[in-house]
Amino acid sequence: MDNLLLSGRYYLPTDALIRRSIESSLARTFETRGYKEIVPPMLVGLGMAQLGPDGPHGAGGPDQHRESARASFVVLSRDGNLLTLRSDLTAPVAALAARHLLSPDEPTRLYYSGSVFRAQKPGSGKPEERRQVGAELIGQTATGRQTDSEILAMAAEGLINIGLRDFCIGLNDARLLATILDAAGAQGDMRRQIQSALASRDYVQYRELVSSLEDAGAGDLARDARGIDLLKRLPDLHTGPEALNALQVAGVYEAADDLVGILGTLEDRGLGRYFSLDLAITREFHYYTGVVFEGYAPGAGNAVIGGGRYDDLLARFGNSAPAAGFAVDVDSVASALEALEASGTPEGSVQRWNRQLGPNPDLCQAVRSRH
Amino acid sequence: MEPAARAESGSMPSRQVSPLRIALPKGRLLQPALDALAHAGLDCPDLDELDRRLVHTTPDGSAKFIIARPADVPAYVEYGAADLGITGKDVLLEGDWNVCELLDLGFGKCRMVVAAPEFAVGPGPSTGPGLDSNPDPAARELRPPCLGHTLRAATKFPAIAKRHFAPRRDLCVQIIKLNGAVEIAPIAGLADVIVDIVDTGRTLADNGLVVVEEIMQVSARLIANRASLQLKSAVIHRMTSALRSRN
Repeated sequence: MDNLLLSGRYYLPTDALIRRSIESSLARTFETRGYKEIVPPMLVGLGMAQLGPDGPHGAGGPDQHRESARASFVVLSRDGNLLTLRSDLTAPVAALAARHLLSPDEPTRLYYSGSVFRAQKPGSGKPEERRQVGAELIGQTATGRQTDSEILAMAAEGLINIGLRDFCIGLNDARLLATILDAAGAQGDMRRQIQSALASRDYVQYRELVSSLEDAGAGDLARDARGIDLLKRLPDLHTGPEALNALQVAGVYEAADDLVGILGTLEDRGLGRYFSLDLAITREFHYYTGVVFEGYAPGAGNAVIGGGRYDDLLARFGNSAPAAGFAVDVDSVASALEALEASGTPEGSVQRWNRQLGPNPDLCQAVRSRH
Repeated sequence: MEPAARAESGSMPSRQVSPLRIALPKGRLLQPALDALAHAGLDCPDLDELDRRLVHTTPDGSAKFIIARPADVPAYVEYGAADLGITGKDVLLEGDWNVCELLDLGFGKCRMVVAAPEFAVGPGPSTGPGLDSNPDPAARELRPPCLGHTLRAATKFPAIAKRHFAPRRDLCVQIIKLNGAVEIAPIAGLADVIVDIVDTGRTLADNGLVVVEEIMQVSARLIANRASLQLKSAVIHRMTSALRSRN
C-alpha cells in the first residue's frame, strides 16, 4: 500500500499540464538553437554524489550547524554495489558527453529534462524530487565570452518564452572569491569559514569573520588592504559600475573583465534588463570554474534557474573539454507563473480558489498543438 | 572596460511597485523591532494597532507588516510570503532555514544556557541564592544525576540542545521537547536540566535553577528571502544601511 503522505509529490491534472507546458516550451527554445535531447540515467555511480553538495568541497563545508545534512540518496543494488539517485543532471550529462559525444571541431549542444533527488530536512515539507530542464554546451571551442553569452541569452529567452516577466538573473564568477580571499590573506580554516558563511548567506557571521581577519593581519605588510576592503563590501556590491570599480582596485581584472564583456553582449541582444551582478553567489555544486549565475522571479521563493561554466568537470570522466550550462527548476517556474497570473487581477488569490475544476481548455489546446 | 557605460544594466530593471512585506515577531521583540523600522524611515503602526490586526499596510503602501510567532517568522521569509523578517538568532539556529541573515539588530540580547537545580551541581565557589550571578560558570560541572544514568534535558530548542551535547562523550542525553515554561520541568521531575533562553536570570533563580553552561549569546536578526534580496535589492539595501547606521 502506498502511503500518500510519505511519498513524493503527485501532480494533479492542472499542475501536470502547467509542468508539461513549461517543459515543452523550454524544449522548443533549445531545439530551435540546435540542441539535441539526451536522457541520462536516474541511478548513477556513487562517485557522482561526490561532485554535488555532499562532496569533499561541498558548500556547507565543515559547517558546525550542518554536520548531519547529507543531500543524496544512496541505493543498494542487488549485486551489492552502491548507487545514488542523481542529485543533479549536469554531472551525468558531462560524463556521457566525455565518453561518447565530443567532436573535435563542433561544440556539442545537449538538453535534457528529468527529476533530481535531494534529501530535505525532515518535516520541512520541501519536495525531495524536483523536475529540471537544462542545457549544456560542451567542446574544445566552447570557451570564452561568446559561449557564456550564448548560454545566458538562451537562459533568459527560455524563461521569456515560458511567459515569465520581471525575473532577474544574478551573475558572478567562481574565480572572483578565491582571488579576493588570496588578496586578503585568508587561509586555511578562516578561508573555509568565510566561504561557508557566504554560501549560507549568513552576512552577520561573514562580517564578524572578515573583521577578525582584518584584526589578525593588522601588522602584515605583505597583505593587500584593498582585499580586506573588498571582502567587507562584497555582499553590498549589487550594481554594476560600483562593483566593477571596486574589483579593478583589487587586481582581479581577468574575471571582472569577462563579466563586463558578457553583460555588454547581453545588453546588445536587448536582454540587459534581466541581468545584474551578484558577487555573493556561490553555487552549492563545486565544479564551477568561471561564470556562475542564479535567477529569481517574483512568487518563487527558490531560484528558478541556476548554472555556470565548469571547464574541469569532463576531465574527471576521462576526456577534458570546456563546458557551460544551466538547469531550470520547473516547480519554481510554475509558482512564479501562478503568481504572475494572480497579480493580473485584484482578486488574485480568490481566483486560485475559484478556478474551474479540470485544466484550462486554452492551455490544453496550446499544449496539444505542440505534439 | 567602461564602468559608466554599464550603468543601465547594473541598476534594477523597472518592475511593478509592490509593498515590501516584513514579518515581525509577536512578543518581547515586537516593540524594539517597530522602533528600528521607524528609525529606518518606515511609517510604523503602534503596538495596539497591530494587536487588533495581524496584517497591516502603511498608509503610503510601501510596506506591509505581518505579525507572526517568532518561531514562524523564518517560514514566512523562506517561502517568500514575506521579503524581510525580524526574529531571534535562537530561532534561526533551531530551524536550519534557507534565508539570508543580513544584520544583527543588537536588541533582544540574551543567553542560551544549560541550567540545573542548585542541589544537582557540584559545589561552586559561591553558594546561596542568586547563583546566576556567579562570575565563573565553569566552576560548576554538568554531570548525570548518578553514575551510569541518562541525563534528561527539557527544552524548547531540541536541535540546539542536541548539537550542544553531541561532543560530550561522557554524557548520555535524552532530549525532551517542551513548548514553554521549561523551568518547571526539573521541579516536576520531568527532566534533570533545561536548555533555555535567559534574559535577566530571574525566572531561573525563582525556580531554584542555576546556569551550568553558556551555549551562546543570541540577539535579534534581520533576515531576507533569497529571491527578494535579488528582486528588491535596491529597497532592501537602503533599509539595511539605515538599520546598520543605527547600531
